[in-house]
Amino acid sequence: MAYSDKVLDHYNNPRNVGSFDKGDDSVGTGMVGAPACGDVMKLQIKVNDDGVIEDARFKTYGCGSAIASSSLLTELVKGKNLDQATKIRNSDIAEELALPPVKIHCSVLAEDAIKAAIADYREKHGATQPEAAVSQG
Amino acid sequence: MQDRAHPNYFDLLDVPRRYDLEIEQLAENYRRLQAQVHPDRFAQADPAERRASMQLATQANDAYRTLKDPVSRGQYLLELNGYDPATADRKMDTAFLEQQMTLRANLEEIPQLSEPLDRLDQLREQLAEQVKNRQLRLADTFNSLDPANLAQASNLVRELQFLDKLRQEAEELEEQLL
Repeated sequence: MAYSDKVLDHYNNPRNVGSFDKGDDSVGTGMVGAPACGDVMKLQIKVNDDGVIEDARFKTYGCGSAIASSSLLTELVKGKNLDQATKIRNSDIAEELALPPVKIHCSVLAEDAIKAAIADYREKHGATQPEAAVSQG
Repeated sequence: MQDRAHPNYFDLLDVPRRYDLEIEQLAENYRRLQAQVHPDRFAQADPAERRASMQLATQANDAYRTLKDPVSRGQYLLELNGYDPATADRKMDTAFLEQQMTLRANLEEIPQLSEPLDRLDQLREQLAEQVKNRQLRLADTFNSLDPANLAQASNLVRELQFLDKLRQEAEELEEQLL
């Protein structure tokens, strides 16, 4: 299967790889995994006092599409507030990267990751907003 | 749930319907069934009999492949118990995922270490222990026959899938190192 140029670009030059201190109050951490392919993805957001995501990091063990999806996601969330970031859909990522149908689940994993990261941040800050970390496939 | 076209795989291979199977018995029963339905024995048979024997041979293959693998055996038992994986909570335990991340990172670092093959062996032993631990718990869970445990069984099967992926990666690394 041939990867699109955008997937290859993110795969060869992944953006924002790394991690923040997950104990830091301004950091939200999302850990997700896909049993079928064994992919594991960690996404972290750093939120400033205005509730805006000022930075993001990821670490993904998985195929090229999973790495590209999480790399692109870190670019997409920067500068967004939490409500805006919640609205990012897997289809936004899949379209941007031109993912083939068999790789759509990689973008779903990325959507789950940002939701889990936001939920973690909100939990730290005592927001009473239980996050259903489930997306439409 | 069963009909003639789709017999239960456990019944087909004449083994008890449980997770902790005797794999040797499974293999022996499979070989015996394959010998019984071997196409050579049906060369002179009429077309209907030949077709039936071929169908049985195919089912026996599917059954053996499904039951001998620890992951697919678990998935099949969940299915037999009426558990729909689509309704499963997809969220994995964070501590488990973190452990997976660490193991993947450790695996990635192995080629840069001295004595990489020894390190790889250690990691694979660690993995094998984790797999065994989950298989034992899975057997207990299925044997308890409590429907409330199916979600837990499903989670254990999914953990085995991640561990299996790690095992594959470790094997690939070994081939590169040798």
